Amino acid sequence: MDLARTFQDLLYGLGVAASPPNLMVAVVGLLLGTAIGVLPGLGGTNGVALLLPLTFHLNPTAAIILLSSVYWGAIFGGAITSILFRIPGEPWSVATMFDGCPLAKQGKPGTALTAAFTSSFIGALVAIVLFTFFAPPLAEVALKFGPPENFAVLLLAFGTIAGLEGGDPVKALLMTFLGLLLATVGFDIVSGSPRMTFGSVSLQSGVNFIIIAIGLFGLGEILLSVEERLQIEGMRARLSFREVWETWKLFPRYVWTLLRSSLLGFWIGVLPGTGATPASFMSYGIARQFSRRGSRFGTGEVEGVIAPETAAHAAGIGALLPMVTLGIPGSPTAAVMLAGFFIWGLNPGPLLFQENREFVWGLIGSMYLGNVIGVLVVLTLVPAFAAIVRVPFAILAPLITILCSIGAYAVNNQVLDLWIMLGSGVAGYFFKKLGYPLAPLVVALVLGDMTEQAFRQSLIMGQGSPTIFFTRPIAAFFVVLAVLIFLLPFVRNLTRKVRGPAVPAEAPGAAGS
Amino acid sequence: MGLTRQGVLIVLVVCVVGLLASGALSAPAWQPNRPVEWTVPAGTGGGADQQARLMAPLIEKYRLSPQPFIPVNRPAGAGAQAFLWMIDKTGDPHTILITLDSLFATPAAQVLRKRDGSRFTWRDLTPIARLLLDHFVLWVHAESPYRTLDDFVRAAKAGPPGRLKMAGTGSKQEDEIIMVLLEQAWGAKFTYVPFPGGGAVAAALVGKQVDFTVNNPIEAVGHWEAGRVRPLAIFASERVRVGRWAEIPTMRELGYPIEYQMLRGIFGPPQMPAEAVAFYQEVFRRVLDTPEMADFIERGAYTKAYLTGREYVQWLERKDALVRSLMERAGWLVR
Amino acid sequence: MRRAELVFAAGLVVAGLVFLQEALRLPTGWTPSGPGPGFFPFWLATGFTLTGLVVLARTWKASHDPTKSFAPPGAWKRVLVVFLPMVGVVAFLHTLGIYLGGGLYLAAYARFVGRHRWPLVLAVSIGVPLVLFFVFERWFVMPLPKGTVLEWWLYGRR
Repeated sequence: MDLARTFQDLLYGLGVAASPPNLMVAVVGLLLGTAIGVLPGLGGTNGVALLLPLTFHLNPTAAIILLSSVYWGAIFGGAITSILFRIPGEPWSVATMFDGCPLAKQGKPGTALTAAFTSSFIGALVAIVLFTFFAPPLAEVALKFGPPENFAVLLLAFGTIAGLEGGDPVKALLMTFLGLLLATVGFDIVSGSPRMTFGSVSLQSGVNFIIIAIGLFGLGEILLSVEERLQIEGMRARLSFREVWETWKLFPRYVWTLLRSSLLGFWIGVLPGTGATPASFMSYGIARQFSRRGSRFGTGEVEGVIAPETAAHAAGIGALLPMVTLGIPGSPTAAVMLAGFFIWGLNPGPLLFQENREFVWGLIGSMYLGNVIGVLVVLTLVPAFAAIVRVPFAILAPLITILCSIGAYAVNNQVLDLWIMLGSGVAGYFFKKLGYPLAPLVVALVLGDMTEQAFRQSLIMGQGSPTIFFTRPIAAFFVVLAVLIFLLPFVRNLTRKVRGPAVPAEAPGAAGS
Repeated sequence: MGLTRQGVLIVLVVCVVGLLASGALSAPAWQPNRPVEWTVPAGTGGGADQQARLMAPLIEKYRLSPQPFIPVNRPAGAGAQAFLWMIDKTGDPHTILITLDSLFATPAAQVLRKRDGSRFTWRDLTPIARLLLDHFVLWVHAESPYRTLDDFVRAAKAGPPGRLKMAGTGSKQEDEIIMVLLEQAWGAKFTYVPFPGGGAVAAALVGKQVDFTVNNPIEAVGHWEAGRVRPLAIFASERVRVGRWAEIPTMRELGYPIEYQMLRGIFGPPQMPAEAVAFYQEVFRRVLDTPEMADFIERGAYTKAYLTGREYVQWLERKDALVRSLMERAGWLVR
Repeated sequence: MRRAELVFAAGLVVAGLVFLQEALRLPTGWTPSGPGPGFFPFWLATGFTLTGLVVLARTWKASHDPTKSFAPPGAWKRVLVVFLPMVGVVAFLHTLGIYLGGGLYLAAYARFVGRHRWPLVLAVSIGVPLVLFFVFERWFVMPLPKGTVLEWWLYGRR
């Protein structure tokens, strides 16, 4: 690879992105994106789709800068409501919630937000550097990933997340079954017919992960908090930039987590057919297994915020790679941007790098600038975000409910989804009270669909024979790795028993969420 | 000059009357007084979505309508949700639908019941206009040994059944229907691997996960330009005479009279007022003539096929009969 | 507490059976080209129901702990006071829409639950829907359910 050439192109791209009009477009996009990311359910996909007509009046370079900035903004913004209200603004911020929200409850929303934004930024940065230097060769590798390989990677994802939340293993199994079962509801693309829909046409859109998450966590939380008293005082939060600095001082000890999560996230993002949400869960699961404080995950560990956020943002960048180089959208948001390509008169593909140098390198340049500006914008807003929790509960709670409803409706433009949201709110309340862990359900729901689809596609390709998972070297490698990871906890227990209990076992049940 | 005052007066009167008359003629009888909701029966990013999101801003840019057109995705059930939504909007002049072939395939593959219990068909909707026809091309990998369609047909007939794999969008929809057409024409058997979208289908071919696809031109054009895929034939009635696309022979030329094109058309809800229908027909006729659409049509090798009224309905009837007979032969028709 | 747990676990088992019945309407077998569409739903529903039974049996055997209660006294009332209006907003979505319904919900909550003063209540319950309306309908051009009342007021009869 011609390094000098790449640097030259990069400088050119930075120049394009830093031109005042493009810079302005990027800032507008970031602010919009952050706002869209904050609104639950109204994800980056909607945001990008809604702004697509607007880009018509811009040149393609400014247009892609606007859309990608909205996308970055949404990734930054998604963490905010997860941390403050247990309402995931974006699917990939569900994992952020597990530790982010407990941190906020302990009076440290500033710490959680700073950790989320900063790690998001670091993940983005690592991913962009990889994107800059290795985009075409990485795309070639991604092409080798067909359904069997995707299935193997998803299996690995399950392996890393298994046993995510401590507590009652039987109930965790029950919730996993429920999540997988809900994932089967909808229109089955393999057989081309609806299933598990109980005759409802609206249910053919499937049970949407984000709607369930809004209900289970967000509404469930509101119901739980009114149980004691109807009036809840806002969380008392320290609101100063000192907290940003204090949080930054923690970062050096998580270098390994940051690096691992960035690489993992980027790679999962590059693979077509996975995306940022599995990446964030996997990263969280792996961090939990490798961290010395793993057993404390779920109680407000900073590392539990860092891992998923780093991976989510790295995956967000990675998802653009197959889009630009191959014309395959790595995520739903990328699919909408891809529609933009056709509208602007560009054909994605390997030739794009040569024929539309300004466009491609302008996009790459804007990734650098956009994320630098983005992290500065959201960090300066940390005190403001943290101040939201001071709004009286009797105004905040109904407002959140209304925003959740709008978000849930916007996913498929159908009223049934609002009922599903309310239903899962009630379910979330009971699950929580009776000690059923919620995390296995949402993880199974988000991964179940993709996993089954990849599995069935693979078997069709193998004409019914499961040997296809072992005759293809990449698939075989990941399947074996997944099995090893599944076994890891048992092996650890075994070695611990052999060596004798060096550390007093910490109560896993403490890891409530 | 021999113009009298009277003559000037007459000329003026004629001019004013003419202006008024032409004004009255050009102003349509009905105009939307609120934003027009434009339902897309598929998810964001697909072909129908792309076209709606391209045309909506063009309608604003060229001031073709006093109110904006707003694309809204209703993706559930391969169009089922969108179709029933249109039924609920009976008589509403502010709701339109862009369609693809799921309009025929989905109600044939599953029983869609309206609120009164009767079964939904496209005849319930008000046809507004046919806009474009989207083509299908038989693609193989550029490194594959199949240089011509004959090579491919020979391989299809020779190998054990199911050896050649095809990737397609969804299941029991247009891609798989075309595969069944090929199977019947050649007496061959293929393995059909469903993927969620056209981009993923094209990538599966480029990544050599499968042996062939019938991607729409716009889905594969980038890979073609990069020399990674090779077109063997197009399922059109005649060659597409635009740029490189003219190189691709039609199936008919090669001795297999198989044609299939996808409808990109506009429908209104049941009982849409005739004045509203006329308004939308005018809007879309003019959208198709904009330079941006011309460019889009050329790049995607679409056929501009504006058609309204009785001819449109007749065309729809023929199309529906074709899709149903193909689905019946494949055994997917649900009665 | 024990009774609540038993009832809830029993509810899960019933839900599992409902899922199972729905799954049985599909081909649940293994076809020559892999699992049929009903294969996973069937086995997952079976697994869910069985696990539910295990939870039920365990709870049945567990001894009753009178010190633990499901919820503090009066909790039910407070939860319902919050939840039922939510249901109301969704139930009346067709007529009131998200803007009017949401405004009423905000007002009721702020006044009767939060006991805020009327000026604040009015400011919030009128201001918030207005802002939302402009953000979604005008700015994002995203049609949300406006409800027949608001549609009639905005556009008259159609």
